[in-house]
Amino acid sequence: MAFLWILLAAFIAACALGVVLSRSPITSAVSLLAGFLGVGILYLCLRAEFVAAAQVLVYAGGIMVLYLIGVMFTDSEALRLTRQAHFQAWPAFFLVLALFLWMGHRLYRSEFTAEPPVLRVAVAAGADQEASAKTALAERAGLAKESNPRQVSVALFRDFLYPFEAASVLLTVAVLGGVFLAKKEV
Amino acid sequence: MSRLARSAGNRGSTPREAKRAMTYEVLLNTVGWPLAKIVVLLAAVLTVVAYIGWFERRLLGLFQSRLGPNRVGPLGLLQPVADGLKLFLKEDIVPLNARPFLFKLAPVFAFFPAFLGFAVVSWALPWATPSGRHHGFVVADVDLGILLVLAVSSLGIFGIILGGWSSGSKYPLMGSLRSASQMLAYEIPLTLSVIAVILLGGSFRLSDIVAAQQKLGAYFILPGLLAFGVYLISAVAETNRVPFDLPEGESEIIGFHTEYSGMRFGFFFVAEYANMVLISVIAASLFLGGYDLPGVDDAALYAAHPNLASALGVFAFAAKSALFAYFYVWIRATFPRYRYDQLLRIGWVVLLPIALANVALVALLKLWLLR
Repeated sequence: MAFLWILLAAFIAACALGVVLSRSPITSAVSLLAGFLGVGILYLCLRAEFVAAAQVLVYAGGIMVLYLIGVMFTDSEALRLTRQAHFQAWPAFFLVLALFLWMGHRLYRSEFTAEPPVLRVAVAAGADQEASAKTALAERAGLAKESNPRQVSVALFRDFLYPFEAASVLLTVAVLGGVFLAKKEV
Repeated sequence: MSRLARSAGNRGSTPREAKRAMTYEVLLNTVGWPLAKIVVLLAAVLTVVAYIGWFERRLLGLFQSRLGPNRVGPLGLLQPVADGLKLFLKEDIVPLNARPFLFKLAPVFAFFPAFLGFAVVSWALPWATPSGRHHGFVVADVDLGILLVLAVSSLGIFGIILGGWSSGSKYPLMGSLRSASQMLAYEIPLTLSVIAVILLGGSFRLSDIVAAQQKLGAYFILPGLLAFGVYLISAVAETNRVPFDLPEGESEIIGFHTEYSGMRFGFFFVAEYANMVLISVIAASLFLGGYDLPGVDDAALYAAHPNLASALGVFAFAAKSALFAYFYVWIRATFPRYRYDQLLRIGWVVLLPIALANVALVALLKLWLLR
């Protein structure tokens, strides 16, 4: 699994580089599409099937199509002749490098690990707590066995209903704003 | 291989032999059976896709008081073979202006999504083997089911966009933009009509949706009549068929695959027919009860003769899907092509509000009547 992850991560990173470094906007868009699909597979590996499907449906199948259509209408010859990196390039590179190092450091020191944290805590506490840890693990397994869409819907429509609805209102406002800005006369 | 495992256990053999038998078993269940299912399914789907073209041309012939292809083989049954051979042997041309990589990638993008969706279709009740195991008539019986089909088929559009753009010629570019906006316009009503069925069935899994219809005692075409209508119309538009065949317009309009020839064109062609079969199969399981045998108590039959019920189920499913395939040809023979602005108006102004209202309607129906 770790091998697969490294392979995927390298693929996604290569796609991301392709998006930034490519001169042709269409190549950028196609790299972005490949990157989206790679992230989708990554979600599948993490057993978040619903998120993977949503990723493919919304990002790869929806947003990328709009991107590609937008890119097709741009004058790619003029873009090719435009210099895309300016004197900010080097400072930006070092700033981003620093950001990545800091983020990597935080991630490395964080609680996110491959093994379930419950078990680690139990092992640290001693053998007498192992039984309770095992029941906790069994509970987690039961949760994992429950269908993936159901978990997501419980989170969205029960636990986080108000933030979810607020986000939908925000999106509607954004759409209306976009229409208002884009359309000269209504 | 389970027999091997058992005999190894009976003889009280060495642990190593037992372990080897276990490994066999695991390999068979994780790699062997799924692979076998995939091969059988692909072969079946490809055959159907090849012969649906023949079916369509013969039917169109009947509709138009002529014979249709009847020269190659008995009843013209070898016509698909001849067509395939012709496509394979034709010269494969990549235009000078084309972007070679994307030009070659585009047919693949059209081809794969069309066939991937079949993986989650549940074809019949599980087959019971003598050793007491049950093999589902499905390659991947996942929770996501229909959602996966929607997600994967939304990728098919890239074949059209990339194919049109990478040809390096203005007519395919125009054609691909036309098709892209058509497919975007009709993807939303299609998804919304499927959502109505998901609400009724309470699951994404296709076998669950069929089971829900059996439990209700009525196919979802009755409570979801509006959804069915929206699905039919947008499905025809999504597969670029008459009367919404503007992306191709075989004879009159120049489409996104103008610059393609030989088997690369064949890939687009096969993908379109595979999409048509997929849409028919999904419609049959969402609205017409899938492998449910009409007028028969399936549960009782399955309890008495499980394998008979499974086999009959496959035939029922095939018959229901064939109804849709026939419907496709029927409207092709009946309707003229829509104008482009009419097509987009139908999608955005008529179908989308109906589909949205229908989702609310079905939710209320589910809340009050079908609890």
